[in-house]
Amino acid sequence: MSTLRREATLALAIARKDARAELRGRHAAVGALFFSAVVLLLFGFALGPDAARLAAAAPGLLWLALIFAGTLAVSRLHLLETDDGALDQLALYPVPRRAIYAGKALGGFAIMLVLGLVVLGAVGILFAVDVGGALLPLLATVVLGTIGIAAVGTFYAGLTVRLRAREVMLPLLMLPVLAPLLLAAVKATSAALGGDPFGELGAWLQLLAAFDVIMVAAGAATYGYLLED
Amino acid sequence: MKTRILGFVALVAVTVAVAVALFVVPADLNQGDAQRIMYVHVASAWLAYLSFGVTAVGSVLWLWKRDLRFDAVALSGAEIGVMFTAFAIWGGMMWGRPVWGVFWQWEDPRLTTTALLLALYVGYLLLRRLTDDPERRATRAAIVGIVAAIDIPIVHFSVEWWRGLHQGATIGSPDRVLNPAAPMAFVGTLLGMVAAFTLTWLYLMIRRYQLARAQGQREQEARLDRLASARTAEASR
Amino acid sequence: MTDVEFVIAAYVVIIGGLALYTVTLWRRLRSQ
Repeated sequence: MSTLRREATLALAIARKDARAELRGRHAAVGALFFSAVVLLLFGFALGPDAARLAAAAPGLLWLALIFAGTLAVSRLHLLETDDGALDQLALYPVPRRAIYAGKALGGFAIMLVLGLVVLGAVGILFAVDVGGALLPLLATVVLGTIGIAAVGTFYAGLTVRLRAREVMLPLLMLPVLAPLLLAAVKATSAALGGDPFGELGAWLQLLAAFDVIMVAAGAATYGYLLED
Repeated sequence: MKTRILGFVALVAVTVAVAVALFVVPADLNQGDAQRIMYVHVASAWLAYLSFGVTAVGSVLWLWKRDLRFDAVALSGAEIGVMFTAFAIWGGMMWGRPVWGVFWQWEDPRLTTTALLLALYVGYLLLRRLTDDPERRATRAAIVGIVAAIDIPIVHFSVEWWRGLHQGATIGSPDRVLNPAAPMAFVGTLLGMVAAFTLTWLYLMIRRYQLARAQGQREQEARLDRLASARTAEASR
Repeated sequence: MTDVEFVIAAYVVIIGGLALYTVTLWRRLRSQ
């Protein structure tokens, strides 16, 4: 019990440190935010200006923008750690590595959640979809989806951060793994926006939750090997 | 020597199986000659999955036992698996066009899943090239190999679901030959092709493993050389 | 393209690819 609490404390401390560094102006979130805004605009140009088509594509665009921005955000978070050797110091702590993973993923999740909420609002405005009408299921989707992005992203960012060509390797490794998340999140979002006529929303949310659980477990179990090398 | 015999047997088996699939077995009543693609397509897909399974097992064993031989097994599985995945996709496309009218059938979860598999394991192979230290490379690759293997069933399941909730009926299921009512000639030809491909796979796996071991040996020697020359430089100073 | 041409395309690439990979593997092994 006490070790578990110690792990949780450390995880929270790491997450808090990341969040504070972020607030103090390390700009991972701001960069990712404007990146996803630009992605949304470009999607609009690529598919527009037919309003009906844009509205139909909105759930897909929302999640693509979030996933792309997510790769940026998680890689920034890890880059900062290696720049000042902080990750190596973290590895010296006498706690299970999964606590470090949990902390980094939590910090990533906090940023992704903020990002998700803002981008959701932006999609509502840009593509004229009624976000307010289905706020609760949409929030659930965003929370579950951003947990998954942060869980997978943290893991792969930790893996690629010391590589040459990490800008290519991170998305190449991470995006295919996120495919089920994209699928489920887009389906859940469009179900929520459409008033869930087929009653499928719950199933997609469950799939998202299952994805999150599996990927968090896999990340926590293997992240330690990354710190060792 | 034994491996050479295996290679010879595999060569004969593939030749016979291809000849039977192309010239002996009758064409399918509904799909005509196009259905002959199914034999190599299914055999390739099976070996792709088998290879990636081997990669996953090798990865776990490396992390557990820290023996680079397991890493060589994992590498062999990934490289050969990527090849068979590409074959499966190519066969699926060549089959899909005459039967469904399109190269890419989004309603077919397997094709989409397989394409993602290709991306996952190409990433695995690229990652290996980017790390010089053998043990570090093995560890990083092993982690990617394990997570990729965990992801496969999730991808498959979610794509299946994605299509299933969307559209009720399945179109021209490729499984028709695998069902019990299919004529014995088709089933026999498929099993023969799978067996022939599996023999070839085994041969290639052994050879690829030998190559990986030889390369590892060289890497090791080069490292020792560098260490030794560094030490002589140190001593002469 | 006729059905037969698709069959040929599939078999040539797959069997040819297998042969090519095998030969490349032999070469790589010999150069070690």
